[in-house]
Amino acid sequence: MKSKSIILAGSLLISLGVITSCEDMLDTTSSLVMFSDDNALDEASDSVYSVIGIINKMQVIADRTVLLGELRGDLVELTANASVDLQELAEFTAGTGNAYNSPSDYYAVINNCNYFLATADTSLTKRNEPVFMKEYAVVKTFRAWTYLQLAIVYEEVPFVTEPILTEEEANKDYPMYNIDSVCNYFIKDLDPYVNTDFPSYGAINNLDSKKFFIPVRVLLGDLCLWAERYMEAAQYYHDYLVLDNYEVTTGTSQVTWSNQVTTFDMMLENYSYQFSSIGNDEVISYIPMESSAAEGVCSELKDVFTSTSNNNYYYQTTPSKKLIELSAAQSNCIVYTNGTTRDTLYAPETNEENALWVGDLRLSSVYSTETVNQYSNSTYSSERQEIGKYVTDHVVLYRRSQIYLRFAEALNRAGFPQSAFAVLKYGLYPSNINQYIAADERAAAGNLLSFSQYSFSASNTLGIHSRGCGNAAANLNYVLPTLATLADSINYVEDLICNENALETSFEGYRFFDLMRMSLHRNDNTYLAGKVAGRKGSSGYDASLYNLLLDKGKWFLPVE
Amino acid sequence: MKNRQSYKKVKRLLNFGLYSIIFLGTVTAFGQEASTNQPSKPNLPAEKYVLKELSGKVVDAATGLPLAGVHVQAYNNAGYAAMTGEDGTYTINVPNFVTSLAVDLDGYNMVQCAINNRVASVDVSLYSNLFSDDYRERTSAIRQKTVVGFDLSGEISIDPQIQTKLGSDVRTVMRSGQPGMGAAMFMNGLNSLSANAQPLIVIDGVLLDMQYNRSMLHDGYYNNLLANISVNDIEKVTVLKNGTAIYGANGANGVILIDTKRNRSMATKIDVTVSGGFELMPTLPSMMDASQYRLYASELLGSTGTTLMDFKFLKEDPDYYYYKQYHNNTDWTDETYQNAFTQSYGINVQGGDDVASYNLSVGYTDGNSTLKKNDFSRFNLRLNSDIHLFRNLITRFDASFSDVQRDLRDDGVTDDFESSTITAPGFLSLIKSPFLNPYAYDTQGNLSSFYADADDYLDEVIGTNVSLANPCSILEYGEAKNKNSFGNSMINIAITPTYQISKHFSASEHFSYTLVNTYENYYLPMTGVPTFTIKNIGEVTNVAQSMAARQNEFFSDTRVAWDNRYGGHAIQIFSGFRFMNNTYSLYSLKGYNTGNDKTPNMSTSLTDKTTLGADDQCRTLTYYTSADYNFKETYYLSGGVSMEASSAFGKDVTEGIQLGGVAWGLFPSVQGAWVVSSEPWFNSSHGINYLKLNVGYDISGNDDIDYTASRSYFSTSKMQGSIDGLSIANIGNTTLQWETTKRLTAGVEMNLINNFLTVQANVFKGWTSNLLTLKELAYVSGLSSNWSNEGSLENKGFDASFNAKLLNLKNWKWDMGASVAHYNNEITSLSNNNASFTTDIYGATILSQVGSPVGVFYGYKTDGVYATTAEATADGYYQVSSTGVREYFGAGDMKFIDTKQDNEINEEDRQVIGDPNPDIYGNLFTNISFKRVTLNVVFNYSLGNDVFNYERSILESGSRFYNQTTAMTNRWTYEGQITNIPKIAYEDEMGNSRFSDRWIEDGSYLRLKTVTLSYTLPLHFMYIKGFSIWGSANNLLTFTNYLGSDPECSLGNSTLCQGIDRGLLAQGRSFTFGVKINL
Repeated sequence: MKSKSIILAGSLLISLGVITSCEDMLDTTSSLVMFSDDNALDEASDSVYSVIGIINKMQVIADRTVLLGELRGDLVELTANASVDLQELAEFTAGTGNAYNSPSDYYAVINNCNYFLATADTSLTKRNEPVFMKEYAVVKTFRAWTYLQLAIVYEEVPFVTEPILTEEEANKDYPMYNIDSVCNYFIKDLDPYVNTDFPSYGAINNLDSKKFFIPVRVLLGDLCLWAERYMEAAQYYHDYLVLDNYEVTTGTSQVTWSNQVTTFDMMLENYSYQFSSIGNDEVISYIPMESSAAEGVCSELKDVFTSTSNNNYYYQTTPSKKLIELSAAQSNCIVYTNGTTRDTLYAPETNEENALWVGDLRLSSVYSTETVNQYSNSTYSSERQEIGKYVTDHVVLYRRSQIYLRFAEALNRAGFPQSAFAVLKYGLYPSNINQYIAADERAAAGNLLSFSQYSFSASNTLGIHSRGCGNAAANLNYVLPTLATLADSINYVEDLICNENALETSFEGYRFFDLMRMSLHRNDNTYLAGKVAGRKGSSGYDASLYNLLLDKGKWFLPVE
Repeated sequence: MKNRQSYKKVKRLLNFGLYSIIFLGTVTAFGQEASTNQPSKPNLPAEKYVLKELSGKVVDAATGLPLAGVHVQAYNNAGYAAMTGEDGTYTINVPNFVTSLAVDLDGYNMVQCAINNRVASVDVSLYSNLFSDDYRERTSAIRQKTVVGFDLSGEISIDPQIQTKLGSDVRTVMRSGQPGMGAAMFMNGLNSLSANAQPLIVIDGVLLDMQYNRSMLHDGYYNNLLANISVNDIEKVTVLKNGTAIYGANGANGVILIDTKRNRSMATKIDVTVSGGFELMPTLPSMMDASQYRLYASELLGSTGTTLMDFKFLKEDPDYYYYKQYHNNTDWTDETYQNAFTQSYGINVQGGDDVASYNLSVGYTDGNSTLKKNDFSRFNLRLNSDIHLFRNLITRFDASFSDVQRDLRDDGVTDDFESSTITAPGFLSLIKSPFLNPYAYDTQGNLSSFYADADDYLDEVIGTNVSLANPCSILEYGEAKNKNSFGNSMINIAITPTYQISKHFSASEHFSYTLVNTYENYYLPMTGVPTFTIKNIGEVTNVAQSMAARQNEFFSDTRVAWDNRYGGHAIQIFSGFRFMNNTYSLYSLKGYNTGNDKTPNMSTSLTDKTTLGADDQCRTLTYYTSADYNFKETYYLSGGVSMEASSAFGKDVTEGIQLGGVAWGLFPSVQGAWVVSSEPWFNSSHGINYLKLNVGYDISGNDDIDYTASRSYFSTSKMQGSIDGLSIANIGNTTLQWETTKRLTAGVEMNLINNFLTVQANVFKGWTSNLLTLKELAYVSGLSSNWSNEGSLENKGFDASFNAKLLNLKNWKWDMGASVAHYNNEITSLSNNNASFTTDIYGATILSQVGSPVGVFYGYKTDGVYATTAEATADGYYQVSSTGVREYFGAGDMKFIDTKQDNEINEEDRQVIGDPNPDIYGNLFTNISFKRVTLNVVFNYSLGNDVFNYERSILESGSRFYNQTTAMTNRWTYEGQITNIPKIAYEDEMGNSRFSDRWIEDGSYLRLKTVTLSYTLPLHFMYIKGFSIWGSANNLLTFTNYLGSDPECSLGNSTLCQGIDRGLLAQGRSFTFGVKINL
């Protein structure tokens, strides 16, 4: 009797495992990771962690964005110390094994964005404010920006907008989108959020977190520009620049010969200061990078472009002959004022003190070299190079002048070459607009040329060309001639914009993509091929590279 | 300080003992009350079978004299028994189904004797139990091997005993000569590629997580949990050759069962053991002396491109201010190595009555290491008790506590010369310039008593980054509990009530809780250590780290068992349910620049602080059933099956079954055995006394799966050092499962020529599939890979042992034996479409490819050194630098084999250059006893295994300002010199010292592992019942061609890092003397 009850109890004990759900018994937790079924994104604090997590993934592709844009262009050449991976990029021979060819890193950003967008509860409100809406917009721009990078690097990419959390989802076949379809998708996707504010995270490690985000209108401008929707592009850029309370002027930072002397040996320089601190007005948006690899992903761009203790002072890239020639070929003039004397003086074409002090002075402002004395057996290089654009730890995505140049490019392609030229030569503000742009073009451009006279004036808005070439407005060598057709004018101005891009944004990683965009818009592969093949200057034309680049397929990295 | 520690230990001991006694007292009181009410019934066999009468004579095999009082019974059946009389004869009546008799006498080994069709005169000779035993009572077809008797050894952990006693059953490779570091073990070949391949350790029935893949703060150190168990507490060690089914997904790598001592008799027995040992410094490489090194260094300076002409350390003027500082002849190893003393004390008390019995042991062991400041101490306490609570209810109550404390320093050659400084005192003492002195000279040129600072003789040439620390300073200034120490305490409490429901039916519950707490402090002092540069961090002055880890194991095993015998049919069945909840949490901190050596602790002021954590939790549920059947003790059949679910498995496992919402793996096994010699037709007069054949088939698993790999999860990363970001870190593989090993085993056991010769042999073939491996994910996932089950490998092999009783006289006994094992391992498929892959570890490149064994070395083959420029130019071989420049090999460079024949020496020219797997390994042993003196000698050997001598590749690289071995005096120095050692060149631009066959050596060895001489004193006092003294010597002789310190070397537990000698402390010769007193 007794034994029977014990047997009963025993068998009950044994089957306990089956009766209580085994699933619960095996449910484990971890304090180190968060399982996806627990990350529901339904609390206000969740959004911060997710957005920061996405920025962490953007850090991984930050350097690459710059290197792919700069090394494949015509403004830099590699030194003998450049790694094989970098050499392959510059020579357009990078294969799937190249260190900078990893589409997976872009999708890491995209997948985290997709997860946030699919999961975040946008209906959640706190004090009648939608909790996630601001982050929602931010994440949408991150995703669109990343897709644009993918498309212009790889030409055609699998298009995924739902989060991938299982192997099955990872192995699905996704539709392939090209630059056009990517742009058109995201123009529609982002447009509703043009007026959504950035979230306020305040200062993170003394950095203004608002600059971690990408302005929706600027990105929309880029997307429209790539998609050849020029009017819309011009409109988005314009609206971004003139937005009430957030007006963005070009500023007046320039490097110029002093207009007090006639000897051209004294410079006024506040151009390079724009790059010395990430907090400057010039910087609109950047990817914050860590200061050391121990803390996370830090940028290696400094080690590529400049001499650092990390690279034993062996820099890997240097300004190309082409850039030096282009810079020197610019006409630089000052309006000399001495009491009542007032004259336009043109700087000499040679300078005995410093070969770089000719033509456009921006290059000399941000690029310098020195030779250091040291033991000959030192592991350090005695030849050192500084690029003044690589001072901070961070990777800049957008800055004022660059957005102005994009605006000019869009205006020009939209059929307003005079207005575009005015961005370069005069600076766009009401009095200049009325003075230098023909009435019919003004009428056609409509509100694209509407700038508040209170916010935009001679004291804060400078023609971009004047940043390095003295007083461009006064320069008789820098004019838009009357050409036979509007199309001729547009191409003429686009060439000037292309040069201005080189003078203003060299080393910053935009060049190759600028050339590619212009070539696509002209439907002319020789445009890009000719420029890149000429990177070694007038005497070093690389015909085989030219022939290689006539094949548009070579502009893009291969995917395994 | 020391006193306070030992006081604490004593206090702990007292507390623990007190609680145990209280507990014991309570249950004993219960038990007594219960037992007095129930007198036990006599157990009489039912006479329902036809009996036949057998008779015979039992004699001593040595003397031939009849033995009286010998217990004779039907094998495995106590129902039919008899006793021999004065003349050694017996008569026994047994049923027809009894096929053999068990004949046993105290002081002799049991003999199983087949009856066959003999009707009478079944005569038996018994051998003294001084010989190893030939027969065991077995009721199962499962093949296993059990060893006992570990008393006469001064070993700190059981590992070396497993090597000497089970050398062919378990392949053991000692991790290092550090006290208690234990051995990497492999059974049945190598059964995994990326997951753990070490056997499952089951201690007193509890599956223990051995922390095989946990890393420690101190380089070259492994936390061996077996060192927490005193060897004196261990009664037996059993290895399972098959029949691992009940261990489910844990059994694929083999199973080792360790059982601690329990009381078996009513008599109170007190054993006191004391032993002391002395270990000599290990063999060390022969390094250059001061003048040889000065020549080397000055030659190497020439390759740095320096333009300096004048060097302080090269000036030969004795009046020069720095002359004395740079003109010593120091053997730095004298400062870091020592002869070490080990002492061990233990008391074991056994006793009890019919209500409760206990085995209580207390021990203290203190072991110095031959590498200074690596000392070990252990306090251990264990109580194993069996208590009759009520009638038919017995419970085991076991509790143990052990506390291990160590000093630690880094050991071994580092794998990272670029972003650290050398911190291991042992390695530093080899490479440190011999012309320097450990002590500083004062301004008067007198030797002071202060340690010299880090060396500075190259500062003017290369800078401080090549400066080497003074190893004495690391030993001295790193010494403190809060600097470099390690502590590990293990507590286990187990309660196992068993209720005997009926004569044949019982139910039991085994509950066990194990807690392992580990802490470790690491401190690299500033004094005597150079400032060094860490990549991405910058210059630092010193390092502080601390770690705390906690392992919690909750184990519950509920079981019902039933057995019965129906005539010739005997059946035993048990079934149960096991639940395990194992957690492991770890928190570790690291920071730099503590400011001075007096504040070594972690604090917020340190720079570049990093933290590391683990929070692993794994739960498993297992249902199991095991059944043994035999007919007439002649035909055996065993079968078992377990069904296991684990939190580490994916939810959609395809190979298992879905039940209760989770996936279960099924692990069946079946074994059969046939005792041929028990057949009636078998004629034992042919010299075969016993012959048993067996065969088995097992499917078992390896569940060493990353705890979270089957689930998708997010992990955090810091941004700007201040804010956490959360991003997708894993896409879970929901079909992730255990690695599956199917193994076929077959064996034979034979006793021949009147039990003179014993032969055992086993063969096996194993197929392991579903290898845990990182598989590439589609790039749209944003992740590179996740864990998956792909790839397979096979193992086949055998082991065999022979034992012969060479001499059996009244006073002289001599037996001798050998064991040999072999395995052949082959990868048969790999993930990512059978893509071969390489793993870089400590300078070695390990290739994993289909068709090769696991762990083969993949590097360059060499063909000597170019003696002349003309030879080199003729070949025209070159390598391409990282910036694409061709660099041609010249005179004095190595000639690498250009496999691809394109003149470019690059990675594609690599080939398989070595295999760390041995051809055969095992033991040779002999026992000689004369009266009360016994001599035991054991050799172990391993033949045909290759070793990558990483240490030598650094000590003969000729690329750094490190002292080199004397072999380097033969380096290439002039055009036309014929030698096999290339020229030296700072930083070795041509890669002459790259991973090549230069460093692959034959690691075969034969080692005289132990010689033990013991003597039992013929004492018969009232208080001292027995007194034995013994002495043993370990590692006396090693026959090998290996050039390093110890051919038995291991980098870790992984299958991929076997046969790599990174210069961890080698085993030295040791001598131990011990006394065992029975009170």
